[in-house]
Amino acid sequence: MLTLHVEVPYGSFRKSYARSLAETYPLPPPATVYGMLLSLVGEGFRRRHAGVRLSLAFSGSYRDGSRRHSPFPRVAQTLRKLSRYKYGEASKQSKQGNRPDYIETLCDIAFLCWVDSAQETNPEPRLEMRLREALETPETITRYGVLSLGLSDDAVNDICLVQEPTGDWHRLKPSQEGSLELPVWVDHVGSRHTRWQRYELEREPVTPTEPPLEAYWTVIRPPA
Amino acid sequence: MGQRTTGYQLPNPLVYELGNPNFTVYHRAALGGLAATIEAWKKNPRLKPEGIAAEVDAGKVEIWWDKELSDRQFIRRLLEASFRLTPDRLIDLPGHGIETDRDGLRLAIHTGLCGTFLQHNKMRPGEKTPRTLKVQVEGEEQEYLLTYKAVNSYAHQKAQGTGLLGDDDQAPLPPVALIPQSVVPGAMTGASELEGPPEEVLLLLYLMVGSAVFLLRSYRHESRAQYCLVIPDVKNLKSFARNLRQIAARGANFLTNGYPGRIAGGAEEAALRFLLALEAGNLTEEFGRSVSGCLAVAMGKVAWDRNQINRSLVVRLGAEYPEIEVFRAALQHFGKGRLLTSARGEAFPASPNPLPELIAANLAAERHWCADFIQRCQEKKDFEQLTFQKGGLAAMTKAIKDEDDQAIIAIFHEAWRMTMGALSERAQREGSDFTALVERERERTRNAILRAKTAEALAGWFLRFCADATKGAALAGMKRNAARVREFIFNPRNFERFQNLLLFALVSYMGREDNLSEGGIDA
Repeated sequence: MLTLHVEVPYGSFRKSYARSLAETYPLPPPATVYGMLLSLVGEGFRRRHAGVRLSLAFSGSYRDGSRRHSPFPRVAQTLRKLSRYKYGEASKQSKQGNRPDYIETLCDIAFLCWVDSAQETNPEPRLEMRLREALETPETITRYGVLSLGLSDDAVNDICLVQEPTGDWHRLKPSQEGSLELPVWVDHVGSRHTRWQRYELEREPVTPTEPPLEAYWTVIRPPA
Repeated sequence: MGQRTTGYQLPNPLVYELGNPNFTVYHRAALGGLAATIEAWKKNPRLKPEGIAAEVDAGKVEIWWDKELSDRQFIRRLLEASFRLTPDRLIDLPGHGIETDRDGLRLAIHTGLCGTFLQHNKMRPGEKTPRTLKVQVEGEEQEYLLTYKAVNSYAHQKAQGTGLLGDDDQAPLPPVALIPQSVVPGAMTGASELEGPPEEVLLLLYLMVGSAVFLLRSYRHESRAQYCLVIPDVKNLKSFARNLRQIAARGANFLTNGYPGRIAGGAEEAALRFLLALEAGNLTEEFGRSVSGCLAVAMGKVAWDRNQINRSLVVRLGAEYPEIEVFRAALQHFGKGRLLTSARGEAFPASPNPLPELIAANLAAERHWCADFIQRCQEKKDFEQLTFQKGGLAAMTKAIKDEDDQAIIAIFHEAWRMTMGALSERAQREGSDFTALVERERERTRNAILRAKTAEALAGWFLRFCADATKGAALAGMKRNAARVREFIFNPRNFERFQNLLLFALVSYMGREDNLSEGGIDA
């Protein structure tokens, strides 16, 4: 198991049914975090590390140390040009395909991500090992592009290994009755294979000195 | 689009569980709508579809049907019993439990649905000439003549655009059904259509029943939102179904009842109105709270698209806010929607009082409840209007829970009462008009509060105002809360809050003579 600290100044995680007004999930979904980790190690096959377990905890304080007003990142709504790609024909697409729309963006995202590869279903190397290699000896990794969390605009500002987390963190706990639904596998084409899981973000922050308990893990598993 | 060659069979019985991890808030609201529809069949058995039986409990809906029925026949019968039309060609959703003589509420919902879920003409073919309907508003003798577009049928009756129903009822279901915008507003067709398993898409058709629709008339001119959909995060199906019926029940004093009850200032106000109405239903219930929050989706015209009603704002609201009682008081006094009549005799919804909208927007954004109150006081005309609403403002003052806010307002009221006493004495001594003196003093005070640009300047003015009122002695409220008040007023972070509170205190002051003339603060 390893622990990563990730900082992303802004990011938009569009909900599956939001094709007008790009409404965002209130937190980066586990499916997106998994995608970012694959990008970090230069892996192009989404199912390569199926079975890996992730656990997330979101920062309870700002960079200056002051406590956050809410455990959830602030949401900004902006007006941006959005490619709709719905017309198919090149001429129509170029004229009508790119229009403005409201986009929600999460601001100042900082989280801890625990990665546990013990239950991965594919042969080695495990994601855990590859992440360690990518962060400790990045020159040995073949990958391209700026590392981003979700959309390519939403670049990661900092990602590093953490030995012992310090500070206040709100843990994200899978819960059958949780008020948050976050995708754990996304179908980018038609949403048919998108799979969600319900979560609760703990209101009281903690300093996680121990590895997450069983109840806090999310298994990344593609739909059958 | 997905593969259509292989057939798909619905499981019989069909079981929908609220705790399904793959259900979004839309699914849970839709499940609430389905539960409400099934409960309505129990109340009115003649609506129940033949060959279909269903049960609802707090966390689950189970439906089973005769083996002789094909899947498509089952879906057709289910939808026919769930999505109906009245003889006046208004949309009739049995799940809402609206009685036949409650045309005002039904018409508001019909108008809202035609502007949101069914905004495209093809989703609700109907008559070209608008019809009119006379609507009686509770508490008013006058009848209002409202126009509407009568519909001959609508998309949900035949699962239009989903692929669930076709010409041949014996044909197998497609393995994948489509989710058009008429099912989930905002689910527009992109590079490919949104898809889902047939039973999930069938469930999503009931989102129209489970969500509440409001007509928006916002005072914020930049906002062109015309409608608001409130999508509840249902957590108890049985209780939700009952509450939904209670909202529509005749004579119930709910804030979402009747045509005016569905006119709101903003999306946040609409959502809080709906949540409060559901909560009011719970007071007589043995069940727990039926929803844990909601999603408010404002829809209206946007500058870059003249054809469609687009989503323009999405707000998430919880079920609990510390100062929700302030909003409740504002709603009770100022929240009643109004209808105006045009020269041609047709009625239309008027903009409601902006206070409930302001407070709801503040609560939803986790701002101080009184934030931006200053905007209602900057124009003299708006400010003077506020001074005529003392009854409601005093009720709001009583509902405040925050101790800092209570202390500031109480001290200001105490000082203002003494200032008025001094003005009264002066009026008697000089033989001048007391009311005119008070008006002048109020205007002077408003300008002083508005002109303060820093926390220090405002705190200085406030202390001077209190000292002038008491002629140097200390106010009782100030004595009791000296440390609290000092800490509050000199903290620069509280500047805007302090300014808003002082303006609120200025307009909400209610003397003995106001009490008498307005029939007390609860008037």
